[in-house]
Amino acid sequence: MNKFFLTLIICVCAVLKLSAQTEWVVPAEHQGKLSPVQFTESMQQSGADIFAAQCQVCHGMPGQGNYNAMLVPSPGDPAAQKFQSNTDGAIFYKVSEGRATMPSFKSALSKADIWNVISYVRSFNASYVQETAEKIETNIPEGTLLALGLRYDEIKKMVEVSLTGSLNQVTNPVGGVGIKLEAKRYFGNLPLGDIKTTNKEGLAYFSWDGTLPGDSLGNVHLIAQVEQVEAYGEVKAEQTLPIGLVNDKPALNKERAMWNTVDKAPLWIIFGFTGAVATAWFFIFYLLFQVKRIFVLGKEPITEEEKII
Amino acid sequence: MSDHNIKINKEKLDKIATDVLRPVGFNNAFINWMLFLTMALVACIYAYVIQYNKGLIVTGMRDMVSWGMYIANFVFFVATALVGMLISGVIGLLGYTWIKPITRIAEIIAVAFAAVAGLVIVSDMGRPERLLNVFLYGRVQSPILWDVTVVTTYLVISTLLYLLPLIPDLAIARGRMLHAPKWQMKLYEILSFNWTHHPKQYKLLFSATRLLIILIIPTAFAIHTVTSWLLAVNSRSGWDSTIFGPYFLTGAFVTGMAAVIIAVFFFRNNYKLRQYLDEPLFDKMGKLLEFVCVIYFYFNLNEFVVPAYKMKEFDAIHIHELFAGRHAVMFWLSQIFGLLIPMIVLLWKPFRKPLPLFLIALFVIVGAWLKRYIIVIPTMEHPFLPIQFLPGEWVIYQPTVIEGAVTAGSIILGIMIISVLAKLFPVIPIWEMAEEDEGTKTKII
Amino acid sequence: MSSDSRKNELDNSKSKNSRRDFMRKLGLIGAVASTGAVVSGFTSAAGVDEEYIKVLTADNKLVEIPKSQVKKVKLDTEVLQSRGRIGIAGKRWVMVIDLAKCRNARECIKGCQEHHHLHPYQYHINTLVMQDNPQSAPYNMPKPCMHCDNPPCVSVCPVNATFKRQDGIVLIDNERCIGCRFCMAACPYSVRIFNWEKPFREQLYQEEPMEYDVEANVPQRKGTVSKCLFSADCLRGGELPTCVRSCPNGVFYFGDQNENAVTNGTTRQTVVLSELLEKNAGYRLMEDLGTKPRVYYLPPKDRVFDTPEKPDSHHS
Repeated sequence: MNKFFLTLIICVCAVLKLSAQTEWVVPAEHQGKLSPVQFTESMQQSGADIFAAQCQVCHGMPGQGNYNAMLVPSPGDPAAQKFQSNTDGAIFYKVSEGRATMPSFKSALSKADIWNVISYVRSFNASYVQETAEKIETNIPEGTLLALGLRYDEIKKMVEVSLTGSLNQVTNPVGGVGIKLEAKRYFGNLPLGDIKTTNKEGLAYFSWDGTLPGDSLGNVHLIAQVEQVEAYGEVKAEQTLPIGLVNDKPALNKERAMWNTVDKAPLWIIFGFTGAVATAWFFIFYLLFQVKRIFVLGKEPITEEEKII
Repeated sequence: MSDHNIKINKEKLDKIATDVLRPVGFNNAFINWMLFLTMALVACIYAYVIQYNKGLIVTGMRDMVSWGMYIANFVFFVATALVGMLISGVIGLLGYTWIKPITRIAEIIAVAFAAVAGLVIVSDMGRPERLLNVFLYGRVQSPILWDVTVVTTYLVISTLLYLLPLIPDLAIARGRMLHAPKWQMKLYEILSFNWTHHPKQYKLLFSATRLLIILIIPTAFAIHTVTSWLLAVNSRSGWDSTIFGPYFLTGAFVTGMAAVIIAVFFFRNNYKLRQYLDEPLFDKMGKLLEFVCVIYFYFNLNEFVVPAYKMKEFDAIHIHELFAGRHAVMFWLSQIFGLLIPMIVLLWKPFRKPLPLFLIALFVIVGAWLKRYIIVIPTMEHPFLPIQFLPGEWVIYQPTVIEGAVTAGSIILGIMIISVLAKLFPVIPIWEMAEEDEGTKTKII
Repeated sequence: MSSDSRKNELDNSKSKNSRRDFMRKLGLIGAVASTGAVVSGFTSAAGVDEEYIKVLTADNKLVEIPKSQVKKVKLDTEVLQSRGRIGIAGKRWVMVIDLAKCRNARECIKGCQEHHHLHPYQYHINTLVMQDNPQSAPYNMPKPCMHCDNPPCVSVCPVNATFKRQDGIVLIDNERCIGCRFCMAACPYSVRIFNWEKPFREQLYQEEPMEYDVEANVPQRKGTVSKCLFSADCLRGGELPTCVRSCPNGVFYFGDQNENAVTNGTTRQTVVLSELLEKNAGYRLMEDLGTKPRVYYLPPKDRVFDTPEKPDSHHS
């Protein structure tokens, strides 16, 4: 029976493969993306670690062909020709965005991590010659120290992010740069709205409806970042602002409940149980006292006539 | 009742005392019997030692069926123990005097089975050495804590109800058993509490006994209701029932009654007490068994017809398993031979004669044991979510030899306690039987 | 005692703290609070050396202590027990399982069994092949503990061995458990398991004895119950539960309901919990039993994997 199903499933898979395995089209602007740095051995090494942890389950060991063939679309062997024919930019895009069974890794892995993985995968391709990206042209003079500021605008009810650049002790606002705003959550950062571009005053505004939960005082930890890391480097501002919802949710084990500890048991059960036990044992002890009285009575002198037997 | 004066017929007393005290004492046959039981028990204890060392892996229980024969056996023991309450409590309070000769036998069974029930539950524990935790960290919300409390209380009350009416008898026996060993006389002396047959002592004894038989009723109700709640508080199909308390209680009356009939039949023949444990008594016991069977049948009807009518998803699976599935044979055996046929045939007087009644009681008690098995195991075998990716032998429960041995050990232990008590003390209350006025029992109440 | 001198140095409080309290306070050296320093760009500015360091205590209070005073304290069982029973203040852990993404790769199970030292047949989390009715397609359903807000298993425990913490996690203390298995009978989801025989890693325990951590239920112990713990030991360090991290397919989301955010263990994307559940018609298992699970399921709609074989159900 199982065999029959297996065959059936394989057939279904084969049919699905034909229909589902449409080419994964990478938008043209991502095709030509290149690593900003030359791949190194240490990059390959850390790429191998990431690959083992995140990719191997589906893709198998590169060059071994032991990828999970049951998956649709097929993950493929990264060392295979079909895989290697992707441009660096295409691989970067596919790893970042994912599709269907391939998860998106843009949050799980940093851009550097993804490049590391690509450097590892490329190490299985003898004919691969790496091209590195040229320096991205920006409108900011070289040597400028970028800084982000973050504050809440009470009147506009918006979070204001300001980007400034300082060069030779002169600080100027920087416009035209994409900014993303995130809120720190326990296991990761939550993106708040879309990416905003700074205006001429170097300011970007993010609308704020105040519904984001904060801590017990209503504090939220916000993180503003320059979006294009390749061009501007990692520019980041973090600020804790008292603009979130106050978290006043009680502890989940606060209420009296059947499942809670004895001191938080429902009162009726505490009194019911102890009352019943106390009543029963009161009578038991009373009875034992009666037995004692029988015993004491036995010491009284008694004539034969008085005796029942 | 305060001015009630008991009158004892001296001649009657002499005769009864002679007859009843004759089998008392550890004779050779008894010692051989006990040696046999001890050897069997040692084998069973060895099985338990294996279980203790290797863990519960040696049983048939696994993650899906995590309660098995031990729990079923526990329920059976608690059920049987309840007969002490039925005879002395309910029937006694109603003023029936025919129970006089069997009250003590019923109490022996109650004490033995309640005591062993406590041990049975320990044999089911994964960490028996942590039993004390129940008292150290007990949660009043847990039915297990209620069960531990109420089993202990019931055992104490039953023991008192066994020992108190025994006091005058021991005093009587002290003067008559001249060839008894010294230790036995010493024991009698201690347990007869300076009994001098003083009228005031009798008065105290009457009031104490009366209080006990009132007290034992709610305690016995509690013990078996709580035991049923061990199952009924879970939302699994087959246990998720609001009538589980009375269903168990009435079932317990049937089991206990059968146990008493078996014991009474045994003592009638082996102790040569035909004169006291006579045919009219068996007729009465047969009628009582019939009565409790009818009530139990009624609760069975409710318990199975209602879910079988609605056929809710998991109830339907459960009902199917019992009626036509893997447990069908055991289910119908216990229902037909353990309940239905006895209930019908007991309507005719010839079946209420000692031997037929004894045979019927055997069927009833075996059926009752199987019934407890049927109540516990099938429900565990079909949980709400499917059982998958587990070793095949884990899915279906099959008791192992070790489990069987430990269970047999509990039964052997129960029989041993009954045997010792029945040889150590008179099994029929001498002074009560020798009363001049048959209505005394009523007057106590 | 050395801890007393350390306490004085710290000048934390003048009251006589017991050694245990002290250890608990220092507890695990928690996340060092971020400095909030900005800067970077083409040239990067170095951070300033801090004299003081912020430390998260076991009861989740942020305290500052001199950096030179920070010593990693070896946690003994008592400390692990007390912090394990207290839980993490202000949190309400919640898990979301996207059934559309599960292909029964069983990586969550592998990771879990490794973490909690389980036999291959023991599951804190198991993936079941479900079929709701004969017409609907079968689907894979990972089944961890539901960590119910009205947990029937905890209600019936006679010794407070299993308990529910303030952050919603239901734990089992195998130093307290008497092995009565009432909780296993009470759980409608059949998520609890028992150590029927000696633990899988018994040899390891004998070679190098380890302190019992109630938050991981390790070492396992014969004759006691075990269950899914939402990897409570990982959560304390800000790490996602093992199963969530092990999934290659992005099935699991985990987070704090109070923050209204859950993070996917595979993609690490953090999303708004309420939106995720609203948009995908999230549901909980056996709502009619009133157990109020803390695990939500997203229905297996628009699946990315093939339909599994029809389940080999033991129901009929």
